[in-house]
Amino acid sequence: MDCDDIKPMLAGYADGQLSPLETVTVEQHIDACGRCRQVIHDQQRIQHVLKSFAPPPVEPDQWNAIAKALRRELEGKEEPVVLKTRPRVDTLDPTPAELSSLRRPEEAPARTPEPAAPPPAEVRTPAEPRTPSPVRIVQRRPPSISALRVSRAKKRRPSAWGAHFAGALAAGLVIALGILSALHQTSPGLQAQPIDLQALARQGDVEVHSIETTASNYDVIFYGGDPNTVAAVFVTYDNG
Amino acid sequence: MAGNDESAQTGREAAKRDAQLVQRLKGGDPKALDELFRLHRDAAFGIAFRLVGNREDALDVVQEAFIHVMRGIETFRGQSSLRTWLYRIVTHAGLDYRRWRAVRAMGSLDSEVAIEPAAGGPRQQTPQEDAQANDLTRAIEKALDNVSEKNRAALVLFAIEGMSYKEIADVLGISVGTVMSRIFNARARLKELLASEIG
Repeated sequence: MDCDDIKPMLAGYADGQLSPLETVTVEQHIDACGRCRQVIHDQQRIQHVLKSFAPPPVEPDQWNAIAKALRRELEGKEEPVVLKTRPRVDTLDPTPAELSSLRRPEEAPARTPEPAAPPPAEVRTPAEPRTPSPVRIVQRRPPSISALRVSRAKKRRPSAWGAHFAGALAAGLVIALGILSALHQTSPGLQAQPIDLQALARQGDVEVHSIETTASNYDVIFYGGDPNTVAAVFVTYDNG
Repeated sequence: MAGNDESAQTGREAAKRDAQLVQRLKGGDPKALDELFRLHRDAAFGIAFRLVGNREDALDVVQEAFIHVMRGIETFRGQSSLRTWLYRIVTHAGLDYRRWRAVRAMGSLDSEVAIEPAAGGPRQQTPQEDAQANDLTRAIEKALDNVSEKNRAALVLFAIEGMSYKEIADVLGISVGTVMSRIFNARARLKELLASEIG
């Protein structure tokens, strides 16, 4: 295995998250590869540095303020808090629709200012002892973008099945027409009986020069005899 | 083997406790909410802080995440653990918050690169915090802010919260291989950004 094969596993090796087989594979490689060994060392070093990056302490009052706000929300005694974030749990990637929904509320007031509208409510509770922040523009966002996305996915299914059904129907029609056509051609009632006109001519001791079909009274005409004395013979063909 | 048994026993107890907690939450029990908040607030704050970069915003994220939990508890069917579900909500809330903040600051999301802390970004540190934070911490904070949000989320969950790759995969809804790759890339980027600090 070369470095490109091993590279995807280096982080896992540095963190001890590989399976035993993967671990052995990486160890066999790094025994002979100083560059990958260095990459693992760097990954572990950064990991060590990050552990020293502790979040600042939170005062009990701040926790209590949040806990109170949550209880009020649970009890429903106040208007539901308008949130800046959405309850997305299915994906990290914003869809274009989500991006535009993020952008729109910020742009809307600039284009159509409404001075009479009341200022948006602050999410935090008044009792919170935090540093007051500037007025926040609270956005109303669709409550469940993910639900809308699921709904769209559900709608696609019936249309796909409809397309499959239409395709199958068309194919069935083509096959049925083909079968009917073949039956029509090979129907015993419609099939012409083979006639050996040469044999028929020999019976009259003539040589056949040409054969052609006719229309009204005769089914077949053929000309025979000596080239200088051509006779036309008319044969009635009974196809019954 | 004994260790495995103990771990399994602990896991079963946690699952049982979580199931009871969820039932109580669904019933609107305020004590259950308090208990859930007390159990997970520090971890939620840790994730949020690393994602949004300052304490005030991180506290907002925690509050919003727990509100999402309350509003969405009826939809929780126990397919993942309560902890995984909660961390997923916190992570997404933190990333949403960063986008919201960036939109507010810049008025556009056309730039897809890591969001710089602009006017609406992390607020000024207080003098007390300045005294507490050393240069390396500030450098890490700044460097983390320049890691793409996907890579940053994976790294934060692993490096700070100590989640396994599998748990992170569940939280972020991606494969374990993708988790590994994102963590690798995040640390490689941090190494570049912190080269002058850590040598």
